[in-house]
Amino acid sequence: MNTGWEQALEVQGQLLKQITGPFWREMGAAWLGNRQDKYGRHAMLPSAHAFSVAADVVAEAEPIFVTAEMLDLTRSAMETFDPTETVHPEDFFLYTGMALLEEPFVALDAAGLETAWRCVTWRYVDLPPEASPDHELVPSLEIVLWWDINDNDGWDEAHPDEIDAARMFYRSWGMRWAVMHATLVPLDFMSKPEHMGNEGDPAASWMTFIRVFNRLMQERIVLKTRMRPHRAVRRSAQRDGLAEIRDVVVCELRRARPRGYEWPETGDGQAHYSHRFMVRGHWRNQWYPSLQRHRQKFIPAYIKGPDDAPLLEKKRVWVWDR
Amino acid sequence: MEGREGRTSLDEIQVEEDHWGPGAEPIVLTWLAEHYDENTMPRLIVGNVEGREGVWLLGWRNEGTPFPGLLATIFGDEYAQAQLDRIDALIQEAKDIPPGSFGQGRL
Repeated sequence: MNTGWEQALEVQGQLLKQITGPFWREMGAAWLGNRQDKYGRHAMLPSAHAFSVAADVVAEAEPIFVTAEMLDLTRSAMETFDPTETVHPEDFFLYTGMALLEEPFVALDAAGLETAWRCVTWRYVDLPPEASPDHELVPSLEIVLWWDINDNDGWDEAHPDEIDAARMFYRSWGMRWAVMHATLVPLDFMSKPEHMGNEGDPAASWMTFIRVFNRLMQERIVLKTRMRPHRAVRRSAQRDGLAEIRDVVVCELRRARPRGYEWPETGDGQAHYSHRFMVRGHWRNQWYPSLQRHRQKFIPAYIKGPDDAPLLEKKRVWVWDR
Repeated sequence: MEGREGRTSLDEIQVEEDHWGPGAEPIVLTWLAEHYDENTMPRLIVGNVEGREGVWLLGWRNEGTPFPGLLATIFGDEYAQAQLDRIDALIQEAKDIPPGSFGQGRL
């Protein structure tokens, strides 16, 4: 298995292979039946839609590899992002994406247990007006969160038998990627916390992650590099069913020194940083004349330290600038 | 879907059976071919649906004319009312979404 950014394409192939494989329908029926039993038909139907289009979404998606540093930046920016801000189509940097995280995204469920997912697929769609009380198009996102069954989280300790059984089922189906969550969400609902949270992630951090990640992708601090995977990886993805092999978008923090960057003065005129670290970043509620509305804009953190030094996790000061 | 002004051949039009009712497409298209007169009847409203080919029939612009809605004209008042009630119920159901419906549950 690849360990770097090329995994994104490899995982895209794996997802497509399992969705188009013989057990996807069986797994989906069990998953959806469970969701309907627990949360009712209204919660099951959007999930059923996400299952039904999963193959198309994965096949069309731009594969993205999210480095641990980018994940850290996203999590930090989430802390002060206002999730009640109205969502607009232009908030999404990529309309169809598959983001593989270098490290799992960890959320807390209603019991305070850590739950981890590692991959998210999404596609922007306009639902037909029949879906709307106002008879207008309904801009929405089809989303699936994927749990890598090789990852451990708080449930391993708290419910080992249940997790073992789940892993056994997925392995028997030949699936490495379990569906952690699947839904179809109109953009209008994304800013309504009461609709986005549930037992698995009451704070709806999964939704905030998708929103903030896409917003950060629009910012200069995030370097988006299209990388062509090795031929063997591309051929393997083709064998898994991917008709169109796209380059992987690798998301990482920009390492070039930003404008205004100044090395601090030291006695010998040299900087002696052993790490890179973020100094400060914040969201500014900025007026956009072209949009005729306010919109949160991320004012990126300074990054100090040598380009090749590891990023040091430090407590930052984030402010809301209204 | 967007309403569209302009000329569209009847051959191009498709009928969304979720709206018009199961099995309605051949009946509607036959009725249009045999009875529709653009000179004396209201203008048809068609639209495009994102992700789908072709143009889709929405109805006709009967405001200020003696004609009832196209659904009632073709199928009669009782059927039209039943279809509209069904659609209203679907819309109402879509409006009354319980909290947490889009949220991540516990597996």
